[in-house]
Amino acid sequence: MVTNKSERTFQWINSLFFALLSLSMIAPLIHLLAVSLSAPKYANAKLVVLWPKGFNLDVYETIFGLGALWRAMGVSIWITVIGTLLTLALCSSLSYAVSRRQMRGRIAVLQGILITFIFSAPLVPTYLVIRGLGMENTLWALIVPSALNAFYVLIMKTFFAGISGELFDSGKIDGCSEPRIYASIVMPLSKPVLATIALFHAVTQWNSYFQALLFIRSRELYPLQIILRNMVIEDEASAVVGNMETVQAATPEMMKAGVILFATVPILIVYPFLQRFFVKGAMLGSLKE
Amino acid sequence: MRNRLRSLSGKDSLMLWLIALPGVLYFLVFKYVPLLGNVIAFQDYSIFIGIWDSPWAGWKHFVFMFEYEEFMNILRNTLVLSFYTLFFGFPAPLLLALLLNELRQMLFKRTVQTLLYLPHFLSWIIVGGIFINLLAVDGLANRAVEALGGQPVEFVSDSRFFRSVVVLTSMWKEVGWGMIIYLAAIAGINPNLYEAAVMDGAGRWRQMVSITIPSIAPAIVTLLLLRIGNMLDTNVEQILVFLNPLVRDIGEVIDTYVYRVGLLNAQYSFTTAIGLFKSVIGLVLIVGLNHLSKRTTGQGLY
Amino acid sequence: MRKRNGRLGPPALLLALALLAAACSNEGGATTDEPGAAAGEQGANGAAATEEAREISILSTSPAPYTQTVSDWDDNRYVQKLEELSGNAYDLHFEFLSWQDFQTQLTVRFASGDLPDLIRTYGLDYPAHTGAVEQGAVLELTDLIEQYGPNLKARIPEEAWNSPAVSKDGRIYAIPALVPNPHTRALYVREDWLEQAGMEVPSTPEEYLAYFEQVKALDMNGNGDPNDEYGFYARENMAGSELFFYEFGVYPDLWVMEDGEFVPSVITDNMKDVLQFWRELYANGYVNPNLFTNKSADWFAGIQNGLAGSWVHYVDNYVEQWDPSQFIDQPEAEPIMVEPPAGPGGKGLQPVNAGIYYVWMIPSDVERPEQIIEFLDWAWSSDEVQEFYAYGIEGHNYELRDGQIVWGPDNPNNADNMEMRAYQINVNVTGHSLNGPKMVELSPQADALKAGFDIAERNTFMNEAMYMPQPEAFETRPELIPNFAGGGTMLLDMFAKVVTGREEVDAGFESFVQEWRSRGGDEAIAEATQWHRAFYGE
Repeated sequence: MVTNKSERTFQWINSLFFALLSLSMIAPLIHLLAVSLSAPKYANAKLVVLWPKGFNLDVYETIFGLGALWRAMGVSIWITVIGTLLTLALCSSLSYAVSRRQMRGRIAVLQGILITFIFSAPLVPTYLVIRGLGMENTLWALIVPSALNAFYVLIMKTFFAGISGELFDSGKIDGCSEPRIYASIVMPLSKPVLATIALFHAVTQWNSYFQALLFIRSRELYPLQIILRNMVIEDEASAVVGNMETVQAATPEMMKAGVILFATVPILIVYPFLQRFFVKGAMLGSLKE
Repeated sequence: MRNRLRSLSGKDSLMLWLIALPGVLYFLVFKYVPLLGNVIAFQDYSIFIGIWDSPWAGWKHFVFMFEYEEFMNILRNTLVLSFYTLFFGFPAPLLLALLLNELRQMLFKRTVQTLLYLPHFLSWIIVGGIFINLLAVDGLANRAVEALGGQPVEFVSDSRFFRSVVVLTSMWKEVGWGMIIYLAAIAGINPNLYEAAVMDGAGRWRQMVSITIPSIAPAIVTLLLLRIGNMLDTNVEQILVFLNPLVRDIGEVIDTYVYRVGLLNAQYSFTTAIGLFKSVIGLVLIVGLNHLSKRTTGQGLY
Repeated sequence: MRKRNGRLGPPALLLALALLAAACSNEGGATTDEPGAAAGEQGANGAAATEEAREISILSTSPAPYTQTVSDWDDNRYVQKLEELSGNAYDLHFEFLSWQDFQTQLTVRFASGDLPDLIRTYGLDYPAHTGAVEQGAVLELTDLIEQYGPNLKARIPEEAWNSPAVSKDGRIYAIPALVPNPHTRALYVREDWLEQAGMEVPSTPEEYLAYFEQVKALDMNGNGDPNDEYGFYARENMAGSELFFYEFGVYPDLWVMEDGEFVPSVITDNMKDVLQFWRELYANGYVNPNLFTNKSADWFAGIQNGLAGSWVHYVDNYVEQWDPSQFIDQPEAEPIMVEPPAGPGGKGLQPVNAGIYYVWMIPSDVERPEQIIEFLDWAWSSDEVQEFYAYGIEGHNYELRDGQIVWGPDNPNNADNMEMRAYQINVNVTGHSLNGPKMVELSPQADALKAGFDIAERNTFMNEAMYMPQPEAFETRPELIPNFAGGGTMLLDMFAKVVTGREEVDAGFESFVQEWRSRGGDEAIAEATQWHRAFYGE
């Protein structure tokens, strides 16, 4: 590969830029970690920056000692895994169909999907539909209503439409049916977009609490986020009722920080695993098959 | 011959419909049925009476919305803020993805990639709190300003800076996350194209302009159009963190107003009417721009 | 309904999808049928249970982290203790909604029509159930309480029954649950700083100015920087920072009669004095310049780091937040609660309030409401129950030694995940017992607390609007509300602009009043005046 001087300068500047940007982005997490490991006095007085003051592990002892949290983590993992699989199945099939010109009425379908992107449903009717379907207080209520949305479909359809038409023609000539083309040509070629949607959905599913708030009543079905959200009184607004700020005195800073990290770190691990799909040339293998 | 082709494509169409069926049904049940609930915008809806029996109110709530003294102001604030967010916020992840793609060192690239998406996972209460402290009159940013010989600037309590603060902080928080889609698009480009270009003696810049960007153009257009469709949506959580009485003139947007009304009194019909208004604007924009895009670039959402 | 909500397997899910057409047409219809259906079932349950224990289902909420650690409240020791105290006359089913998302969850519960016997809410006008009274969804309790709740009537003060959170048009729809100390506002001053300045506790706004000047001039916190202390320390939206208001005859949400109109005090000319005074505080650096953006957590931190010469907060927080040990690197720190200053407009810390913590509502289709009233009546009147709400369970939360109760907040059974809140709040159907007389007695800082509560109780002032429901004119115009709460009000905007010098006192105030009135303020005043006439009968 040819490298000249200006190219090398660019490489240096570019690397430096990314190094600084990354540092700014990891700093808040390091800050939270430091706060969570500090003594309450210093944490509440906001004297902890990037290094713990009055080091202690109390917060983590409390958090790890909660049986309810581990069970909730199980629920969260379950809904994230199953939810993501369901999303991939529903989304890729629908997106494949609407990306094919052979599908009659596909424009109408796409327009219909787009409408749901622009218009949103009010809270109460949404709730009543899920309740009407008998999903209330089941884990399905956490998975199904959010399994698919217009954004996913339109993104995936765009990627599918970008796959060279020649591949389909060759598939056709080989006598492949549409389901065959979908399964053996399109899917293997679409790992980056599948990984993207999987990542988007896994993160959304892991972080979601609103569905659980609406649809789950049994404590054994609570996902992690609901429990953690309820253990941390986030802001003063929700702490004050009438003249009583005291009863619910806001959660100590280091507890907040510890809980946030506990809720976030598991899902952070997903990305590095999916990363290989986002590297240029990742699709080389599948193309040469 | 023609007949055979037609029957063949008819069979394909049927197969495709079968493939699409679960997804289509899904949209009908889980998206369209609740969507019909928007009729409450034309009612005086009460949860104790229900959708079927709540009295009709016609356009009352819409009329009220337009007569509301603050409405034009919050609509303008929303549009201006959205425009800035779109103008500066939209290209940022794309640029970042292109630059990241130029990094040579694989390990460095992967590490950076992972770190860049971290802020997405933090709530606005946390991120906002950090920025407010950084930008305070006695904060780090102003110490830098002073070191450079300037006067301290009221970044958080001067309405001139409100939009910049909102746009820049949301860029910082979401840029790494938004980049992922472009990375996926770049990863999907046929490597043969690059090999051919290198053979023709194209440099990296040339490759980016003639291969990378055109190849991911459909994804860019799709994302841009979708973003425009939600033009009037703002991030309430973020705005509320940065809002204060000294910047409220330009900081109050439709969504924060709806939030305040909701805290005061559950005005389901009224807030739904506002939501519908936003959606109709979004629909007009998206249909119009999709049409334009199809005529000029050949790319569109449908 | 409740029984049907078991887990749904994938086959059922597919079936549900397949039956989409049917589902579509039935969705909305279900809404209206729900309450009736739920009631029928509930009734059946209730009737079957009367043989033994009376079954009562209770929907509540609690801020205690402990709440999240309990998987089955029916088996919870505190619920069982409460049942035991009743001689197992009651079989109680507690359910706790989210504290932070209470409004959303309660809304959904009302939408489902699947309601328990007792519902905790913050008042008849709480947004989660707007229209509940008008639509007859909650039971009118006036006569029931008269008949079955003699102790409720006796122990809950008249002001609470008259509150718009409890009554509408003279009829009672809810049963209040109370706080032990209705008035808890406190003005804290750094006594050690007063000493450094060689001053007594200031007793007028002018004397406070003198104290603030000293705070500005001296390096009170001894960190080498004389300019990082502020005489008064305020926070975002003026939350709990309304000092130097009533001293001039003005207070947020205080309404007064003026020229035959019942108006918010903040639109009367007295407000100009407040603005003038605060403007001076700001211009002279007597108040923290970031007062309009100072987040709560930063506010607490600032005081503990020694930036504040005085601040307004609650008596209750004395032990946890304002104990000298909480102050960083200031061994001399000595925050004390003091009498508020007396100004031309008066002397007072907060308006009289009824001390309502929350209220109980009973759905109108409950089968035997009298039993529920009797249950609450019992909880209010039983000394044993009140004792349990104060100290918890003997041998677990406290010990008896020589007839003396030994209770400590540091006992792990009280402290871990704030377990003590379980008996203080969660199963306490009469309110909460934090810093109640029984608890204060046990506190090492009992004297300071008692003195603080005394000052707070002495320094209340009457607000004739305390029984007034929110004027309808405010409903879609949240910016008109005459207070600072939560931000977003015209009052706060004007206040901030005038105080920071962006607008002049007279011009800013006049244009605020004019705009406020023309935007719907006049309608609100008309409504309020009419209410005043009807309520106080002139």
